[in-house]
Amino acid sequence: MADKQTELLQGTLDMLILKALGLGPLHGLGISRRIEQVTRGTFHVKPGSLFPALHRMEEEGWLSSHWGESENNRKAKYYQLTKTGRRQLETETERWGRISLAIERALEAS
Amino acid sequence: MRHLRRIAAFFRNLTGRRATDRDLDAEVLAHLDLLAEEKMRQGMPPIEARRAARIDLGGLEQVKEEVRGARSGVLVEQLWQDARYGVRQLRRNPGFAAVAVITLALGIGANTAVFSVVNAVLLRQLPFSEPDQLVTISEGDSDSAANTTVDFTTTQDLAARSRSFQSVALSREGSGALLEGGEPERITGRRVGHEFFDTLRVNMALGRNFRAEEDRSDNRRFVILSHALWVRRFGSDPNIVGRVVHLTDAPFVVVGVLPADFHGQLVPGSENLPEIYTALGYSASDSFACRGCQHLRLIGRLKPGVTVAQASAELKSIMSGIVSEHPASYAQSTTIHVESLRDQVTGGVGVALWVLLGAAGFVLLIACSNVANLILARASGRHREMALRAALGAGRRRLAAQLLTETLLLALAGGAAGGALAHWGTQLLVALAPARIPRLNEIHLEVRVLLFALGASVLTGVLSGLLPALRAGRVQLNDALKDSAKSTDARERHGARNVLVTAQIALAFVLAVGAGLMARTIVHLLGVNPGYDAHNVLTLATFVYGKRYQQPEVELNYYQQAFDRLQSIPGIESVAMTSVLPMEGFDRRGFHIQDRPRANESDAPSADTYSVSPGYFRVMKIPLLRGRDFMRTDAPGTEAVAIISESCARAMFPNEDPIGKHIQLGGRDDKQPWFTIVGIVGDIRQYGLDRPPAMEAYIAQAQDLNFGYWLVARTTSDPRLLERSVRAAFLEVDKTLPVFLFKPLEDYVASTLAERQFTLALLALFGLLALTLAAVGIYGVVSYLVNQRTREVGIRIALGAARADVLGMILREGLGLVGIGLAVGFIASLGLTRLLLALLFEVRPADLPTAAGVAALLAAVTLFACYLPARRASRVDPMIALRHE
Repeated sequence: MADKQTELLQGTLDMLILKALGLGPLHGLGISRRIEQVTRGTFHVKPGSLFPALHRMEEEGWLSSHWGESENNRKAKYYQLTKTGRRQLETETERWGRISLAIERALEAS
Repeated sequence: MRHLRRIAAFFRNLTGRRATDRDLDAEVLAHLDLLAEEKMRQGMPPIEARRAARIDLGGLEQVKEEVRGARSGVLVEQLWQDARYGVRQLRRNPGFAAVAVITLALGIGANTAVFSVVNAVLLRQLPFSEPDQLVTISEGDSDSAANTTVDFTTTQDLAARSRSFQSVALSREGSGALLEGGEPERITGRRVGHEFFDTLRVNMALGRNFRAEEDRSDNRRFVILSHALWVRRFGSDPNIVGRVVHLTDAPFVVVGVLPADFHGQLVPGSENLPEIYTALGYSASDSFACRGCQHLRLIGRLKPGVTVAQASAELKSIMSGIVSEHPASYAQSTTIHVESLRDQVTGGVGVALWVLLGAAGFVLLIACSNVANLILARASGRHREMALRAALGAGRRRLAAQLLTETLLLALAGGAAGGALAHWGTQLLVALAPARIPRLNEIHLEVRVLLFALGASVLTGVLSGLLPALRAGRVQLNDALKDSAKSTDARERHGARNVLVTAQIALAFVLAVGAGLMARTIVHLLGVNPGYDAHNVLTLATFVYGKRYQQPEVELNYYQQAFDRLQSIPGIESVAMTSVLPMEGFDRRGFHIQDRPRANESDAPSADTYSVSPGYFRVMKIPLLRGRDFMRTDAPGTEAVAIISESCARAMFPNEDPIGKHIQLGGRDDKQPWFTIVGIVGDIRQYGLDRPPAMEAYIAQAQDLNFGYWLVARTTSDPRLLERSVRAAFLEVDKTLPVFLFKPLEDYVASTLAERQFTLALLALFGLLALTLAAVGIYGVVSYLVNQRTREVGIRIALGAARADVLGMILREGLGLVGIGLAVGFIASLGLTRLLLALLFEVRPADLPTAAGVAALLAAVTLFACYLPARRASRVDPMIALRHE
């Protein structure tokens, strides 16, 4: 997926990251692979979009980070949801549900 | 909570920038490792995998820059970074920085100096409580706004019928001689109605205001002192209230002392800063209180919510009622003018000052475009730097912001230097300014002026940095790094610089035309013959008072004795007296002809009237055209005589001989004697060199004594040198009488030119500044062009082009710019010079000779600025030129 489209979906990227971290802590590459996996390859998040989003969300207090070891004993920075982050995920999910429902209706109408 | 966290992050990002940056470094590198590992697991050889990972990542530095850009406080951080970088850049290039800062300092300094004058004179509130409620009221013809006075009885009627005012107050001239507390001194004063200080809302520092019962013709000997006079003559005596002081001839009781911050000179009629205020004390039965006896000034305080226009409409309608009730007392066209005190105070100087502020604004625009040009020129040198920074992840906005920050730094430095310049400039302005400009003594740097300078600096920075910054955003990475795009891009860049230079020349042209028009105006005015010869004439004022001088013969004797003594002073050729001095005050009286009664005598035309001693025309060198001069024998008891001016004779007696006709001046009264016209003299200009002569009538001093006279003495050398001996001659006759206002007559004539000379001086200064800056600007552009084309010129010369051809080629480019600039400037000047109309005299705003002269001057200077680099080009050594770059 091209960078431009992910930019267009800025709010979506936040939600996808929150969702990806819903199951447990992940490092950056893990997050982007998880997103690819759950969206069946529709979204490919480039580092140039991923890292700014992670740092921004950490400043918002939705994520916390720590240095840990990867599966292959490599150093990596892991991100996990905070309490606020979980609440944010709920609000985002709810909001997204409303939006997609509305769009669906709009497309069905006429 | 959330905000707290963001604020915390903001400060962590700013203070712990190194730590967060190291962390980011590690994170991105780790990501790269993980990516490579993933690819190796998929079977890629290690080196391939690392390469692919790098491509996937899309540039380490770019990613990091993106993250930094997403953080809180990024703007502050970047600003700080840009500022420090900017300072380093400017220090590396001190020549550029110095030229830019000096240019901006000149522009900002000129603007701030003029603005501080405009601020003090035009913008700042008058120092009275609720000053917008204060107005001046005057009677006059419907079209002449020049009249400023009212009479007592009409004022009483107006005040009784009007609903617009909280209060109105009359005042009149009331100077007197003060004998207490030192040498006899003539003190400037006003006689004021008891409502005067309440209308202005002034509270006394000591004592109290006048009471209504202290403002009656039988009970008016009460005085209020200015703070300065109280300090100077009475040693700040705290018990002054109730004390009796002698003014001129009578005892007055001190009732109050004004506060030190009372700005009495701002009240119309009080321009010479009165130091004593006595009660007006008029009653309707006084002869000088009559309808039509206009000699009083009237101020009023509007009720809250009433506008000047409403009050004016109300008084106009009341006045037309009064005129129809007393048709014989007023000219049919008599009406009332109401003007806000503020407009009255700033009066005619507004135009000149706004013109100057506009001119200073032009200088600033030129300075801006010059600096923009400098930055553009430098930007081409920094092309590669910009490309490199773009390659390292700086976005367009970042690059633009960087350049803008640099320009702002320059502008702020320029603003600081300009502020210092403005400090001197303001003092210079105050020194140069004509005395007529009010409130100049109140000029000082204040918050509003400093804010103006700061605003001007920021605006300058943005204006001059915007174009270069926008361009910096358009870096073509590959081309720039390879440096192959130079020729095409250079042309485009050049286009912008050409536009700036053209604009500069246009602006300079407009300024120079303004200065040229003012110069021509002054030349025209200096060429005007005022009707008298003001060179080497000493003037002074004197008046008599007291019981001893109640008989006119005694007063005349005082003057005669002074004459006798004056005539024996070496250096004095001849002396005479007049009740009104040219260019100083006036005394207009109705002009009545005996055999031509009018239905309504108030409709009679008026003539400037002078009560003069024999010999006045000889001293002033006013030519006697027909008939005879006044003589000593024209005394009380003999036939009353008058002399009229040429214009007056032509207007009043078009087809007959005026000599021998009988006239009266003032009101027509058949019981009073009629004056017989015995002579005709040349016209004079009473109100200014630019005002055509009106009708003038002269009467003999001995037959119609006025209160107060001016001495005019023709001298053989500088009249100032004679002041002491002339004063001594008067004091020998009577040492209790005041003699004051020693001044050469030329000073009065010069003061009518002062405002225009001030405007001219500043316009010329700004024009010169603009011309210099524009010349520097075009020099820069042509130099740049020559540098760009060195190789081309080298080839041309190598191929046999004559050096003159090369010179011509470069000059033609410059000529094109100058030509367009002048054309644009000419069109702009057609519109803008109209603003000068009020200041011009016998020159039209669209004056072709001025425009042509200015164009020639500008073309000469700017072409010389082109010639220098063009000559350099023509001397290019082809061998060196071909190796250029």
